[in-house]
Amino acid sequence: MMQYVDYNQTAEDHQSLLVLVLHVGSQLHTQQFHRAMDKISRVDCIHVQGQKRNITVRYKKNYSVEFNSWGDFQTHRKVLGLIAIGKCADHTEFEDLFASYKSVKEEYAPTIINSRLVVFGMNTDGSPLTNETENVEVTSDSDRTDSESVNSAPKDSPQMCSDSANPSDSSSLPVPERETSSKSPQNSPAELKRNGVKKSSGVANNSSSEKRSHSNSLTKEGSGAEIVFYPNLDQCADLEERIKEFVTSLYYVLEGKRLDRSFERSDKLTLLCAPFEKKDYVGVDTDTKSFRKKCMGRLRKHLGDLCLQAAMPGEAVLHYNTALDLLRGVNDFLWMGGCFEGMCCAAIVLAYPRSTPVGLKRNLSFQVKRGPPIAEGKTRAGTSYANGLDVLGDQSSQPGPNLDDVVEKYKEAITYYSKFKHAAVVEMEACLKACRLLILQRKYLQASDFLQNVVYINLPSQEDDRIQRYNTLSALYSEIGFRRKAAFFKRVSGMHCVAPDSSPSWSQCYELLLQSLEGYSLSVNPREMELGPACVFPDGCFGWPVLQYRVLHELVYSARRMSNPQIAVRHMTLLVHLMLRHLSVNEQREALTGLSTLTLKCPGTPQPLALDTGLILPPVPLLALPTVRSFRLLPPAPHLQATKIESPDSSSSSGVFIYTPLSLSNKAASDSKPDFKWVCGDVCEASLQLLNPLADELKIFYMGLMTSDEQEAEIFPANPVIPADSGLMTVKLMVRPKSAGTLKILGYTTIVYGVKSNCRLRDLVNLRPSPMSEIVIEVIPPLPHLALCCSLPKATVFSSSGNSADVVASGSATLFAGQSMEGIVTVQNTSDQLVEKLSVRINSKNDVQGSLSRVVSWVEENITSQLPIETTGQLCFSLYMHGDSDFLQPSEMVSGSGASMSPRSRSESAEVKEKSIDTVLSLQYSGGEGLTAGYCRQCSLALNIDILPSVYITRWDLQNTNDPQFCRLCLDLVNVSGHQMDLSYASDSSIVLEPHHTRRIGLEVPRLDAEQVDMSQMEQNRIPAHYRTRASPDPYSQCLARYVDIKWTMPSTKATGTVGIDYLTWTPEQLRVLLLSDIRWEVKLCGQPLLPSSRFSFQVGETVEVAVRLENTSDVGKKDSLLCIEPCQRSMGGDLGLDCSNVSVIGASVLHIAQIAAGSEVKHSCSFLFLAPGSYGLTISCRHLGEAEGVSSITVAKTTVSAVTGAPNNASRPNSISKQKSDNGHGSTTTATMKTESKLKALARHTWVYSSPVRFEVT
Amino acid sequence: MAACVAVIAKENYPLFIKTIPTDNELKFFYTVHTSLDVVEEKISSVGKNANDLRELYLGLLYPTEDYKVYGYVTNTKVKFVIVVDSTNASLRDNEIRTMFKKLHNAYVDMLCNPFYKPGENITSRGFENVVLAMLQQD
Repeated sequence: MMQYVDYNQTAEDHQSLLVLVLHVGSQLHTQQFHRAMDKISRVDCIHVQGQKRNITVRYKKNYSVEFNSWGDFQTHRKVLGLIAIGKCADHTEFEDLFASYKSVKEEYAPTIINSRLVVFGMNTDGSPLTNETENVEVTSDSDRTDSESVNSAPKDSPQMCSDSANPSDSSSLPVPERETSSKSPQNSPAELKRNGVKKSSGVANNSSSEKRSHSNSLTKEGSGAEIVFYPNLDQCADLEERIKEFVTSLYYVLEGKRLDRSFERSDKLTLLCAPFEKKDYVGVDTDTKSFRKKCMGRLRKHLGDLCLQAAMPGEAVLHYNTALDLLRGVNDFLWMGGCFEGMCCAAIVLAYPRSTPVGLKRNLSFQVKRGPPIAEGKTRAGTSYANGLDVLGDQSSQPGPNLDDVVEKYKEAITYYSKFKHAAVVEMEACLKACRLLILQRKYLQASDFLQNVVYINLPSQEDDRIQRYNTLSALYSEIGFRRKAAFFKRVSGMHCVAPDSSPSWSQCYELLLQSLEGYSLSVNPREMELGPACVFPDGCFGWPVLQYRVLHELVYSARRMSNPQIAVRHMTLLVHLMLRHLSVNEQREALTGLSTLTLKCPGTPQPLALDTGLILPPVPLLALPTVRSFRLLPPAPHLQATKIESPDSSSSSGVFIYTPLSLSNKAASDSKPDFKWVCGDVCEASLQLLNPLADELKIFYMGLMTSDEQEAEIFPANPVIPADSGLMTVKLMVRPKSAGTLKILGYTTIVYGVKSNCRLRDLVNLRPSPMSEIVIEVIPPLPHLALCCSLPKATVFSSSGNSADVVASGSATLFAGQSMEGIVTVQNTSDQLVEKLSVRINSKNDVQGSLSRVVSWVEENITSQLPIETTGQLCFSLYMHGDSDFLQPSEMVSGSGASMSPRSRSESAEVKEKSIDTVLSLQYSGGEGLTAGYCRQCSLALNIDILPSVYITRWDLQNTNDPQFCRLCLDLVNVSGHQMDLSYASDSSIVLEPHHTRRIGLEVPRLDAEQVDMSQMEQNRIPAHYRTRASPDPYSQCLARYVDIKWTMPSTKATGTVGIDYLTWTPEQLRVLLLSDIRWEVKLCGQPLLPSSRFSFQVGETVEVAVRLENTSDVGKKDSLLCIEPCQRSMGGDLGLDCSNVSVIGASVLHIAQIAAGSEVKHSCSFLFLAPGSYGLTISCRHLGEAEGVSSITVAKTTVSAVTGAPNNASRPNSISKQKSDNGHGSTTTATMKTESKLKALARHTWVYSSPVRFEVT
Repeated sequence: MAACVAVIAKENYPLFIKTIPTDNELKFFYTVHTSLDVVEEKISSVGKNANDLRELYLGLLYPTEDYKVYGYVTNTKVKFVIVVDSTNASLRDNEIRTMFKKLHNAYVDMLCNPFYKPGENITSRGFENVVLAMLQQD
């Protein structure tokens, strides 16, 4: 019984001659044998000269003798020729070779027509040139004879000898095989040579015909063993020619048989039998009509087969039809099936004739040639052309029977075959042949029916046969586009590879499973799986998870059994990667446990693996473990951030527009192109949001950034553990760039469950907000780094205002107003770069009008002198802090309008005003390469300074003294500090000020020269008041403060400080007191000089003569001045206006002086006559009109200077008023009392008042 | 009476699959999966002409040793596959047709659920009940 099925058989094989090519001896290397086989099998179609027939040959490397026994049923199963290929070096070896050749030949002797032995390795060195030649053929080459005669070995010429050696060979060397092959008749070599030359192949002498079973053949064709020698495989140029001749010889024998049979009408018929039938016909009556019919029919069928082999399909069909008619009568179903199949083959051969007698198809490989009819048929069907013309043309040219009938006939044949259990092989082969035909015709559904039938054929067979059967099925299924079926059978055949009853071959199983992946929409390359709609798989990009899981599991298992843990890990990783989302919690655990068990032995790598077959297994990154939701780089900490050092003229690059919708500068910061820079040598961070998709804790053993170049950056890995159901977890991955330039961040690397994965950003499709392929960040040259600390106590609260992000240290101080304090700021260089540049500035939003500079200050030179700072070097500088305050009571600004001062009043109501200053001291520094590149860093010290109130000046006033150079400053001070306070002032005076007590102090201060007051500060007064955060210092007070030195000490707090008067404001009257006049006065009253000590007393009606002498002491002349002498009546309450009727002026009390030159004098005198008794005073003033002339109404401003109440010495002039009254009539200038009020302080500068009191009594 | 009922998406991944002898579920998965080859072949051989109305019922896809596999394709290319025991002689073509009709109706009802997104696995209890009724009938 047949064991093996020829799964590659096609219908065309029915017309081909079967030649067995055998490897004999052990000398020839298998590879060389295959090469020789290759060469031989190129000769698969031979055109027979003169016959117009194309004979096809099928070469097989092994063919069991049992097959051969089916040769009577179908002649193409018969081995007709034998080619043995061997190698030997010397004669003894040749002997062995020949012996084995003989035995093989014996085995196939019943069917063999002719045979050859091809020997390599002879005739190269030392071997005899002329081996024994025999009957059939000798070389026709002339050079062979040459070589023989010369007895030298021409390497390129083949040596052919018949096996039956002739001892009387022309060669001088005796060859041992002569004896062994003595069977053959001996001819002289010369004769043989002649024979060979004369009759080319085909007409062979029949010397060894007795060996053959078909020796009774009428043809003269004889089979002989012929030996062909070649030195090696490369020097066998005429091998093909030899084979052609050999095949042609086979053909002639067959042709002879065909002709012989067709004319045979003999009565002694033999019954041709299939192998299993033989025993059925033992003892059967051979003389019946039906038996005769059967014989006839089977013979006919046999003839048809022969016709087919002899390339006469038309004739074959006729024979088959006749046979069918004969056999139908006797119900010989098996042979009827044979007839049907034969008809089909004939039809197919007619429909798809071989295009050309292909002699040499050197560029085709052996594998391709296995099924050349199909391949050719496919191309010939023209399906690859779009115009359809080829198809039409092809179909119209078909002369043969309708191919649809062929399918029907195949079905019939198969039905008949299926009646016989022993004909299963034939049935199966018929199914496959039919299927191949249908594939050609693109009738895939019908083809699948035949294939389905193959599965059902019950054929007891070996495991490897089954593997081959399933492989064939798989291949055919994939040819008809049934990719799932193909995958299914691939998998089944893989399973059979490791069936328990055979020796399991895990690598084969693995290989087959690998091939089945595609049918399950799987790929070893995870990237292919995520193509989405562009996916090439049959089941979309999802596939069937249940089946996929199964197949991958089997793949992993087979890889493991193959003892290739590397590959097992790779596939297990793929399984986890792909299947994770489809698995239940338990399955997930199982899969992950499996993965970690595998990786214990062999950790997963991110490198592609190459299989022996050349397939590359790309790395499988575990992108889902953990799932990365966001990936972005973090800017350095604010105090480490590098900023470009502003060059002075770099500001206006953006054009004239303040805002433009056009994005001229493409600074659009995205995640893939961050708008910040990293600094070389610094540890930089990326922030990832991770999600654990598992139901268990996920331990990540390693997680680090992946950069484009390992050399450029140092990676600091993390090993986070994400608990189950933890939601998003943020992890920071650190990296230290090693060189300046750009750094590409490609993704991240993880080691999870022993698998190292390189997860690239471009693979992270679920990344939010947008997927990106890489992040490019600019790395700038290294910059130094400073650590900052401050000797001040740390601030407890720090209200972060504005640009305070880079604050690294803080300091706080509490000061009483007027107190000063000093703090040390220390910076240390903690980097390996020099700090070459350091600039300090106060950075505060509240710093309006530079007021902060009065609170905090430092010495710039101190800092610059200490630069540069070496590595680990320090720099210290002092920070001076001053409790700057206006010392004024808040909210109710008490205007110091002199008179109503109540000394020593307790002002409990004085609110305690605390001032808190938050400011930032920014240090900008740079150095090293970073400085050359124009970058710097900034760090800041937060300062929190509380200024507590110490003393308020509640009221203040100025008083005239007799000394024109000095005046007296009176201040009411209240202690609001809550502590007892010692005040010292005016160099020697001191008082004790209890908390909440008010004391008045008086100080002698020099009068101020108007010129020395810097009025530029007044400019600021133009700022509207409500924009001013605080009052600005008064310029007069500032000037005055130089002469005032009020110090306080608080014994309880050991604090000392000063009281500043910078913020006192003055009324015009007070200013008049304050300012030093540049006019010197000399006033005489009734001829007597007015001295502070002098007392005057006049009678009513007495003439009081006032003589004034003005001297301009300044350097410039004064123009347009107006001298006024005004009397006024005085009472206890102050000055009273003077009733004009009470006084008379004699002369001019007002004088216009056009010019007072520098250093010159002006004299003027007038007299008053007081008409009523009382206490009077005189106000003498000189007004400068020059600048105020334009303002007519206020040209003559109020010039009253209050006379100080003093005790009038001589109150005995009651009648002087009457005297003055009498003088009233003849004054050139009558009245000049002008009481216009004006607040214009500026005018005070131009008015000089005689400051000493002019007092007298009129009695 | 049916051994396995499967609903397969347009892209050929399973939306719903239910078998009655649950112990050998995997076998049915393979059977249904491979039957898709035949379904695809049958659709592609018909669908050339835009005008001709394809019959939704595909008939017997292929017989296996113990089962027969029938196919049905909706106009939106959603596939229904029913596997029946081949020993069950009472099931003729007409009965199978009715079963598919019922299945199609149930599917359409299920699809009407506004919360169902086409392409998702079918979890509707109503649909499952219809299928179960088919599997457990007689």
